[in-house]
Amino acid sequence: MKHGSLFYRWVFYGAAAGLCLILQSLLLNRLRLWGIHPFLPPVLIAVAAAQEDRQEGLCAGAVFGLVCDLTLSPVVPCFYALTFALTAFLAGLMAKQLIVPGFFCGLCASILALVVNGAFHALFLTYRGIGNLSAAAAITGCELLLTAPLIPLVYLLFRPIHRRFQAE
Amino acid sequence: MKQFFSKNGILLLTAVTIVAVLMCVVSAVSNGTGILHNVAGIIASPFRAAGSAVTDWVGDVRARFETVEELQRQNEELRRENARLQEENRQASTDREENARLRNLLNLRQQRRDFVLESAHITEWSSSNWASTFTVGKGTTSGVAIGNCVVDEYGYLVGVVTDAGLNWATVTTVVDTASQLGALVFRTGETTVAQGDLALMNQRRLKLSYLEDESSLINGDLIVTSGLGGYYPANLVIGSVEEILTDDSGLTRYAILAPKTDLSALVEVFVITDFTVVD
Repeated sequence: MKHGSLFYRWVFYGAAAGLCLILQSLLLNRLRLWGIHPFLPPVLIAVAAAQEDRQEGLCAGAVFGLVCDLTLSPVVPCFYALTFALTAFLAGLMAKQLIVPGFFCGLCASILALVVNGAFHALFLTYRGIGNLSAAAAITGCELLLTAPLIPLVYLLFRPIHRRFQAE
Repeated sequence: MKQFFSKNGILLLTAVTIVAVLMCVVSAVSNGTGILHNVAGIIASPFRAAGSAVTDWVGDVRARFETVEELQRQNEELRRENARLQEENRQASTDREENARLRNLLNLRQQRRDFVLESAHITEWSSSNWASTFTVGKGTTSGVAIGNCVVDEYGYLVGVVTDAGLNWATVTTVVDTASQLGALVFRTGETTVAQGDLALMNQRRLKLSYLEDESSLINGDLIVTSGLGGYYPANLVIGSVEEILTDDSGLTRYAILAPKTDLSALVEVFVITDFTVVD
């Protein structure tokens, strides 16, 4: 495969992720239920990594995480770079060894991504002495419940990109 | 493709790792905002401003469709509140004059609170459910610095600036888990600590800890900043007591505070870039 197609594929993924982040910023941040709103970034990287090569996914996870670290307010520096790289690695591993890549795999990887994101937040907040495990579990659960209905949308957005470039 | 990534992917990962480590080191050794973070904030600023403009426009359109009945009800409430405040103001002006006379008699310096305020538009709320922060479109070039208090148009405390770039700043609200403020019960003068709590953050509430054993705190008590240490200005209204509870051990009590500022309705805030308080 040409390097050009590899470049364009990730440019397309980046543009699609950008669209989702605009949706997150303009709409989803305002849809609060129990004080929680859906959180798309871990789902974006999980769905992309579950359908692409493991190494590519890992790099994309680290880069996307770094972008999130620089633009969002992480609990510690490089929080998202670390979390999303791990998420992408686990999603790639899942797609390669556990579940056939497809919608179900993307769904499982996304759920795992949200759980990892919640667990890492709980871990760092506990380390800083301001954690509360039951509250952290409640936030993770609500976040999962509210974000899960959006996973098919992300999958439908990312799947054509994978198919388009897989054919080349 | 796999060959490409087995070679360049490692390079890319190494580059990201180096940047990540650099960010950690810079963040650990400096109290301010790292260069990378600052640059990222500057690049993101126009996008945040554009997003904010669209959101404000949608909000304006929605506001136009508010029912007439709702506006009439609000108008009636405001009239009643206005009448009450006018009465309080009359009483306050008498008290103020009396206070000035007594201070003159005792040769005390006149009480005053001078704030240098910088208005700032909120360009983005944090997307994370684990933090309660927002970004404003003013930064160090406008005199905004880390540690500055942020208030709303009524003077109620909103939060504290925790990160500042050239043309942007991040404000951590009073309900965030990282928030911790010296507080004073306005009615009794009791000093305490108002701090964010993970379990309360998403309900937009905070906790009033370290209550004295003989504390006579009651629901509705007004809580203001203590100003002890001179780090934050004194007497900025934080919120009012909503509920007084005993912790799981049954030994200490704490209170749940409802911030006076309406965090969900904030559009513009004011950063206190400098202050002088004489009590």
